[in-house]
Amino acid sequence: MRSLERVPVVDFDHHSPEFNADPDAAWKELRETCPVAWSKNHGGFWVVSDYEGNHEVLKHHEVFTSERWPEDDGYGTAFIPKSAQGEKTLPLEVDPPDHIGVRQLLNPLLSPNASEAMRPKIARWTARHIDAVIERGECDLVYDITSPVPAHITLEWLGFPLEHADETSTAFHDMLGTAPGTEVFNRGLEAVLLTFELLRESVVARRAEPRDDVITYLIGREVDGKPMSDDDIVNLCIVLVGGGVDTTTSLTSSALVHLNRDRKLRQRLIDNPDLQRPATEEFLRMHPPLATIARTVRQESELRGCPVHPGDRVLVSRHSANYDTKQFENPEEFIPDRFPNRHVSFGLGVHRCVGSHLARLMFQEMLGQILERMPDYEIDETSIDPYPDRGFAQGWVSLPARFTPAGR
Amino acid sequence: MRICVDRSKCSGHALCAATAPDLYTLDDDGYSNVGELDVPAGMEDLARRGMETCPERAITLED
Repeated sequence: MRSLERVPVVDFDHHSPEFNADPDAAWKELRETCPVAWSKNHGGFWVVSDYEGNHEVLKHHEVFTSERWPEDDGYGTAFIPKSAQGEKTLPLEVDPPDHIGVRQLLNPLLSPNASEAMRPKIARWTARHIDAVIERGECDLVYDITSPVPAHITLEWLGFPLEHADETSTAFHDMLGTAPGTEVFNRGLEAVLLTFELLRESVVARRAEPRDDVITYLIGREVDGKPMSDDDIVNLCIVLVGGGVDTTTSLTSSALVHLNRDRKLRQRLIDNPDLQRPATEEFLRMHPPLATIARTVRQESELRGCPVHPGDRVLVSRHSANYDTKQFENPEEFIPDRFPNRHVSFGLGVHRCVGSHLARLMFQEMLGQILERMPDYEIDETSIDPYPDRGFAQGWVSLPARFTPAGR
Repeated sequence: MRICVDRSKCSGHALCAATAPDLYTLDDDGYSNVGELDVPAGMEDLARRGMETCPERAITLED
């Protein structure tokens, strides 16, 4: 009889205070001693922390599925532990063949060419937010720039009422950056519910009066032969906002902190703006906004020699893969033109981040304009905190900074 | 030299096209539409660099 014993066992919890005291050290230890291991926490899960393990899990959806199981009872399975009960999120929680229809809908909207066409709008929203603070000589780089800029770009693109864009960006940032149950988190949750409501109203409004935006594009489209309902459209928009807004915020915030600590690198990127594009990949590698993602084993299989069984949960650390010495020489070192740089920050396989091209452009525009217009920005390091729980999303709660004031 | 792209493995990262746009072309969705391609003389190095960027390891080169 086949043994259902799951070994090797480690005591690992990516949401514990011990882990969050130093995630880099925790991932390093795991990766170097036990890159595939079973943890009994959160009901039991495999934790995969090396580069090859990321490839093995994320590229084999027929074995490691993103779909929910009947036993999941409606709980979301993209995280460990599972998220709240509710509708499954498209296209995150469906694998091919069902996955293909939704991706075919989104891909042309976010292709490299489509993203490139948004460049003037990206530049305009970035300039407008920097204009608002440039004469003051001080601002909060997160709440004034890295959070609202991607939000305004994304929400305008969707067709969301922009007078509520600030509330929405703050809400998503608050929810990712603070612990559930805290006052700020609850404020965020309330505002996200308002976002749902406003999106619903926008869908109704676009049905009556079409415009040139994503909501209008989605109305009347079919997925697998069925027209999308208003709920489908709202849920898809929420995924696009949730997936694309605060992630770009946290990448940019992490880069700004990195450059606050490495002034030589900052000067290099100012003196050689052409270096900012390849350096984007290195910022992505070292500071992936989403550290982990979860899958469920669909069939008896082996994962790097460990037998895995249907229903087993699997946590994959992209953050850890990006520091694997088997793939990256001197991974602790920031090499702006590292080549090749096959980081896995946007994931791998069929669920690769659909917004990666737009995200890169938003990041490059924000970083480029900040380095040009506030090159001497100085973050007050005594009053900044990383997200308290970096087991899933990682970034900076707020970044108060000073710089030499300038004209608009 | 010949480029072979396993299109079933392409997930649309589009890094090959960003590195060597003349060799690695994309469809309207941003996925590789190359399949197989003979590399013009003098572009071998670009072909190699494009291959090396692919996070999915979907590209191989044949001499």
